Amino acid sequence: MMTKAGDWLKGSHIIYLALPAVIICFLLIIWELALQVFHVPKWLLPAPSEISRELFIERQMIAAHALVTLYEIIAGFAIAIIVGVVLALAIAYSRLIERSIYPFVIASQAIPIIAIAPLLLIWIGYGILPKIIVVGLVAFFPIVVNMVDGLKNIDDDMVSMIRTFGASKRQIFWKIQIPSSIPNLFSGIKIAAAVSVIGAVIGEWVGSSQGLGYLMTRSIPQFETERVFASIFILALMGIMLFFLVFLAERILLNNYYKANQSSNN
Amino acid sequence: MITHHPAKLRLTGISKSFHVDNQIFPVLENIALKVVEGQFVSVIGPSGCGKTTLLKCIAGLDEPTSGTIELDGNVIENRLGLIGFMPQKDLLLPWRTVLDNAMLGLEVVGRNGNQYRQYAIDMMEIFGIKEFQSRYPNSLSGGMRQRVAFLRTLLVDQKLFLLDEPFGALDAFTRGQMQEWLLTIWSTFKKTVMLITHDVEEAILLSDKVYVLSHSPARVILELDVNLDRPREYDILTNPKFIEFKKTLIDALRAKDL
Repeated sequence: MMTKAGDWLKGSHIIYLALPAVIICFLLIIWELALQVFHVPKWLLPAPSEISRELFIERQMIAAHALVTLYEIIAGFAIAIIVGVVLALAIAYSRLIERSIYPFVIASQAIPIIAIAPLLLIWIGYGILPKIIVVGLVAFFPIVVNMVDGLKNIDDDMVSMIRTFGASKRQIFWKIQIPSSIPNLFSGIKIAAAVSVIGAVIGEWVGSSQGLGYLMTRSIPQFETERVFASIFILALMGIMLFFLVFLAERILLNNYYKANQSSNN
Repeated sequence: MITHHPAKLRLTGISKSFHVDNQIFPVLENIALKVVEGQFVSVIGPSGCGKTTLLKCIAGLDEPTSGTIELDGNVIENRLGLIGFMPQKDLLLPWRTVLDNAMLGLEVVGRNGNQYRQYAIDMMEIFGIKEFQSRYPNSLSGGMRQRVAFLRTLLVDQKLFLLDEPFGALDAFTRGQMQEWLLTIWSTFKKTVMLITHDVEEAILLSDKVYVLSHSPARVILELDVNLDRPREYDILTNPKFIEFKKTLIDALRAKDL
């Protein structure tokens, strides 16, 4: 059975939050000690303490770049959700639309994003917009595919049941198909959250003047490895936070699926 | 005297066959039956004999290969929406509260104003499920879920109600409770009902008339009028007349095995 929404906040679940923290601390300590024991130079692999120092000293500069990347991620991610949901609804509602646009949706993923990104640079320029487009391109696909699956994979008996009330195709769509596809939609959005971060970095690597991806490409030739790691740390943090926000939204919106044994309010 | 009433539902020469890999599998063969206004009729037959196919044809979810289905004396092409259909699974929507599940049928037919909501809540009182109205289906027992499904069907006042083994998935104790409950509900609302079951006692306990179907292809092999007094209590199961009916039905079901 699935976990209930309320459980999450209960004390017994603190262990699930504490466990990853303990593992991370353990790994960081090993990392720190191993570097000191083996005398690994800073430019090859910086210690966690050096990365933290870099994060602290250069906090303003890193924050400025991080904000740009965050903006690209959020904007591209939001566009991906809107476009993804609209496309999924259209594809599931009409067979004609499915036949005419689904091949293009799949083709958009067959072409490597690393090939599209420089083209966007030529067409649109160095600004933030081409990065948002790259994020949107990589993130909309899992949303469309998952939601289409959810919309099509419905319980035939439920459809028969509502048809005996005389339900129209539109009513079946709104009352059965859409609600039963929401869990799939969230699966797609979770994957999209993770790939959004990758999309933003690729977009910046290809050509940019700001953002964490840019900071990394600039730091690597100068062997400022601790700065590269600081950027990776912030990117990972963004990815985790985005995923967590989606997870929270899912829990709140899909409360019905988890709600059990709750006494009547009326 | 039943013949003086108008037939709510009349099936004449209903046959249905499925084509699989160029082979024809007959499921229903020349079925004729009649349900009169306000009557409770059961159709019993062995598992897999095509009972559900028959109900789907009547409800309009499927069409017979030949034969006519008349409602109030008229052959109606599109019967979807006219006949209440209560499948074996309760099919409650997990994302809707009990009240919103009960309202589903009314919503579909465009009757979802406050007065209908209030009506649904009043009916929940009678159905013994009012206390669950704002809960979600996954916190309800099988019997309670089945009551919600009944209410969802009953609220839309259709011409006829088809029940497809509604208690088949319940344990014996709950099934007994639900049969008694259905007796009470039915005597209150006097709906025209056709029940499909493979439970002989259930058929006699609830029905005015029982049709027995044969193994596939299903044919009507017996039509039995159950003239037991109403209201009926569960202890009718030991009444000599009840036992006689039971014997007749079991004999008929046995005979078709030969």
